[in-house]
Amino acid sequence: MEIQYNGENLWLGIIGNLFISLSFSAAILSTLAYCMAGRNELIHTGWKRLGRIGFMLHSVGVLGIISTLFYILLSHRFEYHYAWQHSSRDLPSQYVFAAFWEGQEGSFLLWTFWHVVIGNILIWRSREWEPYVMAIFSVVQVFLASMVIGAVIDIPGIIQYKIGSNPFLLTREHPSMAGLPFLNNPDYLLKLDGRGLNPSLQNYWMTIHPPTLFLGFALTLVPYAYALAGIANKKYTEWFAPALPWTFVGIAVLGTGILMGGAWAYEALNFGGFWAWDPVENSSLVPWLTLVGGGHLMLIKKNKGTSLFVAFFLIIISFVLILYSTFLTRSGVLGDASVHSFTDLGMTGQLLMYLFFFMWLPVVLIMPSFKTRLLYSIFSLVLLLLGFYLNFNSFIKIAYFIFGLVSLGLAGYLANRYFPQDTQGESAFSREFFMFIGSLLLLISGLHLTFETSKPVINKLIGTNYAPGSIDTYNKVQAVLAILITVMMGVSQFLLYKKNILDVFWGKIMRSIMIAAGLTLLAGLVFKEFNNPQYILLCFASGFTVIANADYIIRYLTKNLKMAGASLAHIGFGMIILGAVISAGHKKFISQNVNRINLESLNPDFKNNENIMLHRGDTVPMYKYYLSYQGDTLIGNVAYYRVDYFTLKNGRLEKAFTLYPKLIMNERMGNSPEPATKHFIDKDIFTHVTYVDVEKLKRKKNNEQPQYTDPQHFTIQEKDTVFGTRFYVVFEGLQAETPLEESSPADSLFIQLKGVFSVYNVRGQILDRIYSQYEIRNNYVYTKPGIGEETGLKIELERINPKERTVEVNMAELKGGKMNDFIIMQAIIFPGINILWAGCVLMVIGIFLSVFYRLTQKTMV
Amino acid sequence: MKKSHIVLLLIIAGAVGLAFYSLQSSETYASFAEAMNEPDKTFHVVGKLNLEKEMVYNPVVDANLFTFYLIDKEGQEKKVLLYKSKPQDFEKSEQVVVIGKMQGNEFHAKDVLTKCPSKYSDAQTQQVK
Repeated sequence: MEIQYNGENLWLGIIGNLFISLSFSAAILSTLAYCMAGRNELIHTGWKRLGRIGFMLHSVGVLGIISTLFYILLSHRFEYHYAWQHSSRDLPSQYVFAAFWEGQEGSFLLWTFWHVVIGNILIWRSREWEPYVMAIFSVVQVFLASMVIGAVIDIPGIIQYKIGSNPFLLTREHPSMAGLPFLNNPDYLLKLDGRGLNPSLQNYWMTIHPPTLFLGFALTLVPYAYALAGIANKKYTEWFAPALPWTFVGIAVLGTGILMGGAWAYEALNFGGFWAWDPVENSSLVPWLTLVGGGHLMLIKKNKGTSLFVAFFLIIISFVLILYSTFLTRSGVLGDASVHSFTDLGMTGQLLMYLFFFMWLPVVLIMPSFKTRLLYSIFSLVLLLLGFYLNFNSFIKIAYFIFGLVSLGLAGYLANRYFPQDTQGESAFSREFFMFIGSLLLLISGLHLTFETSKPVINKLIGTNYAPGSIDTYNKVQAVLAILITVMMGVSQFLLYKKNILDVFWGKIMRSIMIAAGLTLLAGLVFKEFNNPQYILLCFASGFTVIANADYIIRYLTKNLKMAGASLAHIGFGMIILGAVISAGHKKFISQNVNRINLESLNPDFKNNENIMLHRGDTVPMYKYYLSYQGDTLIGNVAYYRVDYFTLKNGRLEKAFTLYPKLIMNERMGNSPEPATKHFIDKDIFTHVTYVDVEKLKRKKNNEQPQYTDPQHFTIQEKDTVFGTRFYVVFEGLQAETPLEESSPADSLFIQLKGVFSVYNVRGQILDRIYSQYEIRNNYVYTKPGIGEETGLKIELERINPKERTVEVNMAELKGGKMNDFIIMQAIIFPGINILWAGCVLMVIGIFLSVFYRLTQKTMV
Repeated sequence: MKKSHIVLLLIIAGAVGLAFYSLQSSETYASFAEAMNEPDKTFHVVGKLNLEKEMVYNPVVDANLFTFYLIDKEGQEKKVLLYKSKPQDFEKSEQVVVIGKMQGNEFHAKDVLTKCPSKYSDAQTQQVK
């Protein structure tokens, strides 16, 4: 029997799905129309108009989907699974954005949204390039729109495949809910609350980081689309000019997005650094590297031959690598290898198609004639169908691999034939040649990262067991490349295009080399950490690039600072590398346990003496400070641990600052610590708890009564000592209390006594003085146990035996008591990290300045 | 042959060389038995916790030592010494990856990755650093 559920708003889903169909079909229309517009110059305008209409309709569809989903989230319509999964009633409304793009569907929509925004600007601005560029944009949108369809293609016996994942799926229809008892209740909605947003993501970073990153992703599509338009149009270098500002805005935005991720990790995650070479971090850094390489080659106006081919390759591969990154993070292939990949929604095949299509497209377009294009397409299609037929066995995988290599070779051959070639003979000692080498170095850096990151993929493909690389393995290779790249960045500034005279060049650059070498030498004398040659070279090279570019500004641009954008960006980049090297290289664990066992003697490989234990109230020396843990405060789901830092001044402890490292309690995703950092100009002190008693926190959260161990019975004399588990107790003796009530009846016996107990820790420091009441009134004994303020120890004076001069006491310890109140924490000093952040800011400002300058120059001409 | 061609070829050769180097030097997943055969090499061992045997973390004595028993995928159980603090919620981990070397009959780990199960579908791995 069908159950009639009450209170559901099914209209929202219907509207949402209508918008999805609109966005998908309009994107197809737009693609076809723009393709026709590009092919046929004569009936150009009609098709172009249709393409525009298609893209506008698509935009309406996308905005409609997004608004509907936002409405569902804001109005807490938990009958929709997406709202149920990513939000809850008590979610503060400023996190609605975070909830929107926490899931795969929402983040695809965010990405689609940026393409819509950029696409509309391009319709307005791209002039004669519009049909080609917009055809590419539209076909990308077809793929992206398909990611949220959630329809199943079902031809019995042949194929059954679900396309995309629909954000408007009802909670009760979601596969994970099948058969749950609440489905039998027609009024289930009244009680249903959303599962909520992961508490670790409830911060402002989650609001600003994804949109920035996805805008960066979206911007890589612009140069890709222009490059393909250039190929299809046989205007091999003319596309540079219109695409250049977009490319560099893309570099700035994507760079900002990546660095924001680093800043987020540093501020709010607990791995103790801003960069951990996590697969997800890498897979967005790699396209940035290639885009930077490609962007620089686009600066060479009359680029020719190999360098032109590399320019195309880098620009195309940047977008392809964005797709590859999407595949890695969303297909579930990374699995355990990454901290923050999405869960598998069963879209692996679809994501692969998306990736391969845009790798394949440039090869088709570079083919000279319609016939070869058709032949190549048919061959590819056959190969694809064969893959389905053979269930993608190892034979077909090898075939695909060979096909890929042959295609790349073919593209190289055709490029060599059709691209303008350098006939004058190139000069190796020129700015363009150095840019060429620099770009290839960036490519190598990217390839290495891709290769390391792809180990889980390689394991899946050929059945190997490679484990993800450690931070050191990455650092080793990338440091060498960073040295070469930063040196190139400094040198190229002083080279002219075309030919240079060696003596003049040396004359200009000598100053920077001398200063950088001098500073490195000085640093080597001051800091004893300067002992690793790679580290010294890296400091020198990045310092050199900063100085050389600054020198360039001083020499040539002081009168025209508007033109200094590029140099400023280079200074910024140099500072990022310098800051990263100094802060990571000089990173110092100052939290070291003062314990008896020397770990390093046990095992020289693992000198992980990085954690310190702090008991509440104890003051422990650490580095230049004295630390005191002052207890925890629970606010909502977050426990704040107050740690006071003292410094010794004139023999007295003075409080320097207080840090509150946190623990976010989270039943669902696991409790996660969040660091607290004290920022100084020259360094940061980064603190986070690595271990705390979560059970105690839970009791505190539930306001449970303190629990005691079973009382132990002792018969003792004055000055006797009793041992507890963590301390010892000395019975100091009995004191008589003067009764407050003077008017007590004379005939009744009234005695009021108290037993005095002192509690010491193992080091003999006094912790508590406990007073236990003992009264005899009208021949009855009344006792009231005393409780230690510090230790929580409970002592009851049960009986006094005057003849034996003994007392009988019951002693109970607090379970998880205050003595048990401790944290294990880590403290790390990051010196010079502000160089890195300043570098980030300078780089972004520099890039925007150069883009702005270029745009104003163009309108003036 | 043009200079740019030479550079391109050099770079391609460099890339291929780097790829080989990174596979050659890569650490691998292994079982305890394999790790035992090569005690000088660092391995990543995937396994499940043995919750019946005791886990020892006594920060008063040493905040940087935690021991537990792990059963690898082949069913072999070994004592693991982790030279770090005890990861939060460790008992709840569904799957554990330990990174380190075999020494005698004990596995000395410098790092551990835990994967926590969840009541719902999304799993999350947490790296303990």
